[in-house]
Order: sequence, then structure tokens, then C-alpha cells
Amino acid sequence: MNETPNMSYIHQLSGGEKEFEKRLIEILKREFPLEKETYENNFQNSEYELCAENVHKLKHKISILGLEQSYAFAIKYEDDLKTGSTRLSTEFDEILEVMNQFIIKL
Amino acid sequence: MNCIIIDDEEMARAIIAQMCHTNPDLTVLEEFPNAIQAMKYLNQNEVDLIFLDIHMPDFTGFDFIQTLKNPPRIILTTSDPQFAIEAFEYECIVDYLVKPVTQPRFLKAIAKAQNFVVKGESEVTKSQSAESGQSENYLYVNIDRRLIKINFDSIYLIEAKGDYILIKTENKNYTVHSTLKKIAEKLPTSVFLKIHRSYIINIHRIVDIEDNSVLIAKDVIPISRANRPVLMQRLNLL
Repeated sequence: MNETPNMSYIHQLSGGEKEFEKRLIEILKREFPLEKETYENNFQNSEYELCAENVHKLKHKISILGLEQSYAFAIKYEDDLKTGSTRLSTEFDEILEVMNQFIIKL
Repeated sequence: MNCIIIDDEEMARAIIAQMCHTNPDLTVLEEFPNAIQAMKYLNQNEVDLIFLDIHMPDFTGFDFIQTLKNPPRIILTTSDPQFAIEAFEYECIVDYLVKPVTQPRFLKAIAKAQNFVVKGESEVTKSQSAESGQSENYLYVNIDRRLIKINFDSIYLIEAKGDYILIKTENKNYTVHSTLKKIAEKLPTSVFLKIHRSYIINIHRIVDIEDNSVLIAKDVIPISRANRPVLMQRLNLL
């Protein structure tokens, strides 16, 4: 996936209100690692239906960070997981890692 | 409108709450990370509107709706557009917002909610309107112990002034001890529209609209961002 996370949506939403941006970033830093960890644990335990739910939840943060292609990819991956298929997992892990690196630096 | 937000994702709640805070017609009473907590709250409190996530662990948004005896207006929020068809099987559902929610789409949903009548509520409104004289073309106001009749079609503007409202008509202005909310209940909704937290206008008396203000008789009245979409929908626009 050749795209970089960005803060456009958050900037647009805040209308320049720095306090609100700061709050959203704090939530992102707190909530994303937990969602990622839950997904990874469920994946390790082969709980793919639960993984699909985790991906569903993560999709919102993927879209908040402006990752349009990754969002479309996550939709496919979520559908796959519901049928027990993990063929897209490596690329999805890469998306999570890109997001993780971006969020750490915020 | 008083509202609550139900979503297991804190980020999603924060975003909806922020959008509500920028809208003077909305007051967020509470936020809940799950439907169970919201159900307890609703047993003791009344709300006008619920922002409800569909996809929550244990208890989905649809499960939650089915537990409500008299559901208020509900705007669904979800990352999954595929539930849209199921959503409209519920009469209390006003709109369906796909995440990430944008401000224009949010405002459109609020405008829908403001015009939306939940089944059962319409009968109450009808009977109340008959009792209140809304089926007539006038209302009475109490000024200095005198009941003064004012025809609806003579009113072009009503302005909130602290504990009073100023009713402006073609010939005379009346200052009455009341609120915009109370008088709005007496006015025909087909003619009058709240365009700002301090103003209700007679839409038939608009002279022109420019950016975020409306000229009505000789008064220039601001239009709040949240109410502008509703006003535009009501205009007979060429």
C-alpha cells in the first residue's frame, strides 16, 4: 500500500481548535495500540471472526488517518476473515505498522 | 435537542461530541461505551436524539433499539454501509452516518432529525396543536394581564430576549414573557422556522438570503450553520 497517513480529517474536524486536536491524538495514542494488540492476539489464537470485528473497528482509524486505499483493503480483509481466510493478513499487518509508526511520532 | 452518544470506540464518541458542541441546537447529555449503560440511563432520563453505533460487542445497536419501548429519534453511526437497508425498517431511525463522519453530512442528519416525527409523537402533536389553537390562524399572548390576539400571518420574526420574546408583526411589536421553545410549539411548522438559537422567522416573509444571514422585512437575521441546510430545503428554489 503506497500511501502515508495524514491529519487532514482531524484538522478539518477541529477547525483549528488545538485543544480538540490534542485530545483526539491522545485518544488515538491510547486506543490504537489496544485495538491492534487485541487483533493480533485473536489472530494468533485463530479467532478469525473476532479478528473481523477488530478489523471493522480499526477501519475507522484507518479512514481517520486518510488511508483510503488501506481502508478499501481492510473492507476486503474483514470480509475474508468472516469466511476464515487470512490470505491478506501480511499486507494488513503492514498497514497497522505504518499507522503505528505515524501515531508514535504524533 | 438533548442527545446521548453510544459507541464503544472513544475516538468515535469524541468526534460526534465535537460536532454536537459546534451546533447550538444540540446538547450532549452523556456518552456511553456500551448499550447496557445507556439503557440504565434511559430508564431515568428522556432524550430527544441518540447517536448509536451499530457494531458493538455483546449488544448491537439493533439489539439496543429493540429494548426501547418509546425510542427517541436515532441516528446510526457505523463503518459499515451494508446495514442501511435493515436500518430503515425501524421508524425511529432518522439517518445513517458512515464513519468517518464529515461535518456537512452530520449537519444534514441533524436537519433531518429536527424535521422528523417519531410515530406516536405525531398524534400527540396533532392533539396538542388542536388544543393550542394551531389549527386556527392565530394565538393569544398575555401582556399586562390582557390577552392579545395575534394572527400568524402577521408575524414575521420572533426574537429571544432573555426571559422574554419579542414578536414582530407588520404593525406592532409585542414583548411577551415566554421562550422561543414554547412559542415554537404553538406555531405552524410549515410557515415558521428557527434559523438561529435566538430567532424564529416566517419563511414566507423572507426578502433575500445572503451567505449566513436573511433579510426579513427590514431586519437582517443571522442563520446558524446548523440550521442553514433546513432553511435551504424549505425554500422554493429555482
